[in-house]
Amino acid sequence: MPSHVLAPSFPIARHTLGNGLRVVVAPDRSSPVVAVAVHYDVGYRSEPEGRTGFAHLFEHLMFEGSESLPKLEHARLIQGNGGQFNGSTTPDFTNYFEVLPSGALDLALFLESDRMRSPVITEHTIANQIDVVKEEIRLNIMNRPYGGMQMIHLPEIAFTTFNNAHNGYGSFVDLESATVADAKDFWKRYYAPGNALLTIAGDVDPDDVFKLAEKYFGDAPKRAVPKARSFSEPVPQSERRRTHHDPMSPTPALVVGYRTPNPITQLDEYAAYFLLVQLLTESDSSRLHKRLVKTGLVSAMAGLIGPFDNWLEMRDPVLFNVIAIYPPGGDADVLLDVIESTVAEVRDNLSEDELVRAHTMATARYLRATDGVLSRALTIAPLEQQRGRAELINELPFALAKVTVDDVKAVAGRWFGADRRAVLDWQPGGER
Amino acid sequence: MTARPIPEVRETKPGKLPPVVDETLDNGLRILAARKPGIPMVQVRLRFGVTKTRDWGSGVLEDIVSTTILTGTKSRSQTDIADEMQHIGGDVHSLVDADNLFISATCLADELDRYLALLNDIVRHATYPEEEVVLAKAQTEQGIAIMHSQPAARAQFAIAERVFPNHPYGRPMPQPHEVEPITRANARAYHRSVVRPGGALLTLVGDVPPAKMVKAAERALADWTGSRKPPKVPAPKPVVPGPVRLVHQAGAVQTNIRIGGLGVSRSHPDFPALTLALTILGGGFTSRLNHNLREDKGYTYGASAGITHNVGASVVNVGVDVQTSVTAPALVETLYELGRMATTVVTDEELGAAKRFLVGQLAMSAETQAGLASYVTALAIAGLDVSYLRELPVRAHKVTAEEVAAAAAKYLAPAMLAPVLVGDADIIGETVGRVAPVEVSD
Repeated sequence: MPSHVLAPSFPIARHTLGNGLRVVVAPDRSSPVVAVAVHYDVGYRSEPEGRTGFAHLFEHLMFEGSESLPKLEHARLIQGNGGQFNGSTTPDFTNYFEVLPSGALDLALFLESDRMRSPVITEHTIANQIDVVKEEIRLNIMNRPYGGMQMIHLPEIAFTTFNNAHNGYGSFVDLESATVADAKDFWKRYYAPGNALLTIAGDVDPDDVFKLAEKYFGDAPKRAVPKARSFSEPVPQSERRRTHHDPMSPTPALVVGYRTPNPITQLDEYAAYFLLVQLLTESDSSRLHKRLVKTGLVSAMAGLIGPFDNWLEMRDPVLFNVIAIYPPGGDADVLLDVIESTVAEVRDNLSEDELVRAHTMATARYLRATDGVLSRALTIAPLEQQRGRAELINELPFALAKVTVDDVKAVAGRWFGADRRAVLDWQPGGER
Repeated sequence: MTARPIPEVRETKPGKLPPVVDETLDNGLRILAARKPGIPMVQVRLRFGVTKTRDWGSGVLEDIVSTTILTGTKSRSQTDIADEMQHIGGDVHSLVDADNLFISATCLADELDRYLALLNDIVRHATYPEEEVVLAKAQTEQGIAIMHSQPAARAQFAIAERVFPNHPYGRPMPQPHEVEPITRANARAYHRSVVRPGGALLTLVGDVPPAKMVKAAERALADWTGSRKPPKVPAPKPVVPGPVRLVHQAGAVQTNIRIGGLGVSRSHPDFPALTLALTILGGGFTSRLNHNLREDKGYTYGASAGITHNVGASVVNVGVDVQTSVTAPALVETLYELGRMATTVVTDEELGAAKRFLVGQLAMSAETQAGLASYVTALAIAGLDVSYLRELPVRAHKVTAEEVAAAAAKYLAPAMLAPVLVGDADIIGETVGRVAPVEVSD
C-alpha cells in the first residue's frame, strides 16, 4: 500500500427537483469559469434493432433548435459569450456540456432547460444531420486506417446480445430511415427530467445553482422515467475470433478484448483490475510494453478499458481492449500467447514496489483529469448517475490504494485466458 | 409553445494570472515558474530550439532522437528510467516539431526534486543505447508507412509544401527508406549539439511557490554546461497560389480540402483583426464555414479556419473534410466564404460575438496547469510574456469591422492562397477542374 494517498477534495452538494431532475454541484471559486453538463441516462446500448446510431443522431438533433431558440442560436449564444460546448454519446449515456465565463451561468442553465423541455425536430434538421453524421463516420472510421477497431468491430465479436454488439455509430441504412416520429418517441421515452443529471463545476455558489435550477428547469413537466435495464451477459467460455480486411491499413493489427468485473457492483475488484491494466499496458515500463514493443514484435500498442478509454463511464458489461499494430509477416497467435503468458506471470509474481508504481501512475493520471472545471464535471457526472456517489471523485484514489498484491494476482487469474477472449484479427488489403 | 426570454449574461471579471518568475541560471538556462493551485502536480517543459537552416533533412533523425532520448543514461537503463518515472507519477515524453525539441513531464508536486534529478541525468548523460536506436528505427519506419496511409497526414504535409516551397517548414513527407542510414552516432552528435542549457527554456507550472521551483531546478541543473546560438529560420517567400494540387488517394470516401497562406505573428499590429476574421470565417460551430458547409448543406462534419505560429512564420489554414461526391461544390463554397471575407465587411453582430469568443477562449486556455504551462512556453518562444493574455482582449476590443475586412483582404483573399485536396483523383479530378486548374500528384 502506498505510504500516502494523494486525492482531491472537491466539495459536493446535491439537490433533486420536484420533476425528478437531479442536480450536483462542485464549487471552485479559483477561476471565473463554470462548466455545465446534462447527462441523460440513455446511450447507444439502448437502441432497438433497426435503429442503430439513433442515440448519437439524436444527440446531434438536440443542437438544432428548441422551444425558444431557432437553429444555431444555442451555439451562437454560447460562443458569442466566450464559451465552448459539445456533446457525446457513449454506450450508457448521452451528454451535453458547455464551459463559459461564470457570468453566463443563467444562460447555460436556460439553454439546457429549453432543449430538455422541448427540442424542435423537423424533416429538414433530420435530413441535414443524417448527412453530417455520415461525414463524421467517414472521417473517423471509413477514411482512416485502423478506424473503429475497438469501438465497432470488436464488440460485434465479443458480445452476443444486439444491445452490446451493435455498431453505435449506426449503419447508413438505419440512419437514413430515421423520422421525426422516431425522434419524438425517443425524446419522450428517454429525455424526461427524472432520467437526467445536471452537473455544475466551477465558480458558483451551490445554493444559487439550486435556485436557478428551480427557476429554469422546475416547470419542465414530470414524466415517466424508463425502468433501469441491465445489459449484462455471461462471460464467454470459449474464444471468439474474426478476421477483418481493411484496404487503408498498411500493416496488420490485433485487438483482444477481455471482460472486466462489473464496474458498479464489484467496484473493489474493478479497481484491482484497473491497476492490473496499468501495470500491463500503461507507460514504457509496463509488462506488455516490454514484452511486445521492446522485443520488436509490435510497433505500437495501447490498453484501454471501455471503447473510449472511459473506464469510469460504463456499466456492465465492459471490455478491456489490448490494441497492437505489428509488422507485416508477424503472427497474431504469437502475440496472443505473449499476452496470455504475461498476464499469467502477474498472477504468479508481483512485487509490492511494482504495484505502488502502478498506483502512483494511475493516481497522477486521474488527478490530471480533474484539473479544469469541464473535465471535472464530466468525471463527476457518471459517478453520480451510475453509482449515486459524486463523492467518489475524491474517494477513488483511496479505493485504488486499498488494492493489495493478492487482489491484483487474483484478478489476473480470474478474467484472462484463451477461452475468455474475443480476438479481432485485422489484416491490410481487400478481402480475399 | 411559447418562447421564454433569454437571460442576461452578467459581466465576468477576468481571472488573475499568477505572476511568472523569470530567471536565467549561470549556465544560460532560462527558467519560467508560476504557481497555479489546483491539483498537487507540476508541469515541467524543457525546450530546445531545433530549427536548422542547413542539412535539414526530413526530420527523421529528430524523430529517432526524441524516441530514444529517454532510454538510457550512463548510470540508468531504460527500465530504471521508466520505473523512476512511474515513482514520480510522471507522464514524461519527448516531442519534436519544426521549431522545438521538448522533454515534457507532469509529475507529483512532492516528487519535483526527484524528477529534476532524472532530467539532469538525461540531458547530460543520455547514451542512446544501440539496441534502443535499432528498435526506434524499426518503429519509425513503420510509423512513416502508417502516416502515408492517413489522408489527413498527407494533406498536412501537402499544404505545408505549397505554403513553404523550398523552405524548412515545407519539408516533404519522410520516406521509410530515409530511416535506414541513421546511426547511434548521429543521434549522439545531434544530442551534443542541441541539448545544451544556454539558450534552452525550462517552464515550471504547478501548485508550488515559484521561488521554490526555481531553487529546485537550480540545485538539479546548475552543473550542466554548454550553450547554443538560437537557430535562424529563413524568411518564407510569398505563397504562389498556383493550381489546385490534388493528391491522389485511391478509393477515398472523403476529400480533405486544405487552403493555406501566410499570416502574421501575435505581436504584429494586424494580428487581432486577422484572428477575429478567422474566428468569423471558421472558428467553432457558428462560423460562416460551418453554417454554410455543415448546417446548411450537410457536406461535412466540421470546417475550421485558424492560425498557427512557428518561430519563422505564422500560417493561416482553412480545412474541411467532405464526402467525395460533393468535393467540387464544397470547394466552391469554401472559396466563396474566403472571397466574401476578403471583399465585404462583417456585421457588427458577428464582430461582437467573435470578440467575446476570443476573450473566453483565452481565459479558458489558462485555466489548467497544463494550459498555463503551454501558453507560458509558447509565448516565451515567440519572445512574448503572459502580459499578452491580458493585452490581447484590449487590442481585440478596439478592432473595427473595417479593420477586419482589411486584414481579410490582406491575408485571406483566395487569389493569394494555395489550395490542396487529398482524395480520389479519378472521381473528383474532372469536376474540380471546372472550378480551378488542377495538378494531380501521387
